[in-house]
Amino acid sequence: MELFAHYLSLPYLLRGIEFTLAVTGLGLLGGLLMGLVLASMQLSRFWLLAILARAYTVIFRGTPLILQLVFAYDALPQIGIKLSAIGAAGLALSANEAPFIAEILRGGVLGVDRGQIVAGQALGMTPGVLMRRVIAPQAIRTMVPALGNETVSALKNSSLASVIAVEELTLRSTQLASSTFDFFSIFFASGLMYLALTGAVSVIQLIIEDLLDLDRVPMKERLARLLSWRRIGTLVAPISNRPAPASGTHLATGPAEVVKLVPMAPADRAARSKRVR
Amino acid sequence: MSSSCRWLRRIALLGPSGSGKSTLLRCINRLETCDSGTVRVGGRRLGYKDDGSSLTPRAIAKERASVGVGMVFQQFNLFGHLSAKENIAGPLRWVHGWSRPDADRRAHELLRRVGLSYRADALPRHLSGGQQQRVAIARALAPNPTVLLLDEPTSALDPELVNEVLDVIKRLAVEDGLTMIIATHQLRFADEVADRIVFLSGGSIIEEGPTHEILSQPKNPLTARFLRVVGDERLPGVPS
Repeated sequence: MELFAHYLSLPYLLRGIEFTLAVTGLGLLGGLLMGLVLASMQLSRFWLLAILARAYTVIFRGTPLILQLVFAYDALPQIGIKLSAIGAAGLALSANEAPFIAEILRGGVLGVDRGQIVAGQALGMTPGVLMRRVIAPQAIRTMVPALGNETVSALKNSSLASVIAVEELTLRSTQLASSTFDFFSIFFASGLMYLALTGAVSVIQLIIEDLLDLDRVPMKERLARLLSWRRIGTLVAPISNRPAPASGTHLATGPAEVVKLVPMAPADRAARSKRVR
Repeated sequence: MSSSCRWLRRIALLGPSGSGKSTLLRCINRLETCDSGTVRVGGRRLGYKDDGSSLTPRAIAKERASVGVGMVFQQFNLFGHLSAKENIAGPLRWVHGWSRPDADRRAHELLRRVGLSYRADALPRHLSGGQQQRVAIARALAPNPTVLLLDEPTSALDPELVNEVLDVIKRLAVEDGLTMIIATHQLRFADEVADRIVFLSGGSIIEEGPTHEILSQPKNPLTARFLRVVGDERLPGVPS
C-alpha cells in the first residue's frame, strides 16, 4: 500500500481518466440528443412515432450494454461502419442511455401541471411557445436530480468500454496491476479516482439545482443570514433599562429588555417579504 | 343547446355540478371539441377550416389569439415559475409580439387595477388564492379580449377571499362593459353582474332569460329546485 499516493498521481492512470471522461461525455451528449428525439416521438400526436420510439426503448433498454459495446466495435465494421474504439464506445453508450434519458424527459414534461398548459392554450400559445416558455422551464427543474443520477451511472458504465480496448481508467488499472502485481494500491487508487469523479458530478448537480431554485437568495443576503446574530444586534437593539410605555405591543426578551413592535410601512413590508422568501 | 350573446353583455351560466357549464365554456374557445353543433365567436368558428374540418393545434392557437377569448379558471392556473408581472407580460410578448417595455407597462397597469402592484415580483406560490385569481384575471384581460370566460372563478377560494375576487370582476363588468360568460354558483354575484342567466342541467339548456326574471320567477321546476337549494345556503334574500 505504500505506493498508493504514487499511483494517485501517476500520469498513466490520469490519462485513463481523460478517456473515461471522453467516453462518458460522448455517451451523455449522444444520449441526450437521441433521448430528446425519442421523448418527442413518444409525446407526439402521431401514434406511429410513439410505437417506433417504444420499440427502440424495448430493444436498447432490454439488452446488456456490454453486448451493445461489442456489437458497435466488432459487428458494425462488417457492414462497413468502421469506428474508433472511443467512437464505438460513445455510440453504444449513447444508444443505451437514450431510452433512460428519454424517460426522464418525458416524465418531466408530463409532470408539469396540466392546468397551466390549458391556461397557456387558452392564452393562444402555440405548442412550441408553450413548450419553450411554460413546460420546459418547469420540467428542467424537476429533471435535474434524475439527470444527475444518469450522469453518475453513465460514468460508471464507461468502465465497460475496457472490453473493447478503450484505454480508460479501468483498463489501464488492470493493465498496470497485472504488470506490477500491486493490486490493492492500484485498485484503491482508481476506485478513489472514480469516487472523485462521481463526487464532482454530485456537487455540480447540487449547484445546478441551486441555480434553478426559484426561491434562490442572492449570495450577499445568504451571507448576511448566516451572520444573523450580527444583524439582529443592529436591527433590534434592545431598549434596555427603560420603563415600558403603557400602550403598544411588547415582547419581553429578557428581564429588563423590551422590544417594541412597530408596524412596518407597506413598502418595507413588500421589500421584506421578498427578502424573507 | 343554442344561445346567443350578440347583444348581451354578460351571461351567467347556472346549474348543478356536471351540468356542462365548464364544457360549454371550453367549447367556446375550443379547448374542447364539440361533438355536434357550432360555436361562433365574432362570426367565426374557432378552430375549424371553412369546410368544417379541424385545424392543427398551432393554427388553433393562432386563431384563439386573434379572436380574443380570455379565460379565467377555477384553479387559477398561473404559470408557477413566473412572477405575477411576468404571468401577465410574458404571454403578451410571446403570443402577441409586444415589446418588453410595452408588455411590462401593461402588466403594471393591470396589476394596479386588481390592487396587486406591491406583489408584482412575487411567485404565484407566495400569493393567497384570492391574489392568484386576481392576477389570473389581469392576465386574461391583458390582450384586450372581446369575451372573457370565467369558469367558477371563486369555487376554489376560501370564503373570506371570495369577495376580493368578485369585487374585481364586478368592477371590470361595470367600468369596462366587458362581455363575460360566467359559470358560477354564486346567485348574488350572478344577480349583480349578469344581464341574462342560462340554466343548464344534464348538458342542455333548461331555461334562459333575463337575470331577475329567472331568479325570481323560474318557470322550469329544475331551475326552481336548484335556486331553492343553492339559495337556502347562500342567498336568503331571493324569493324562490
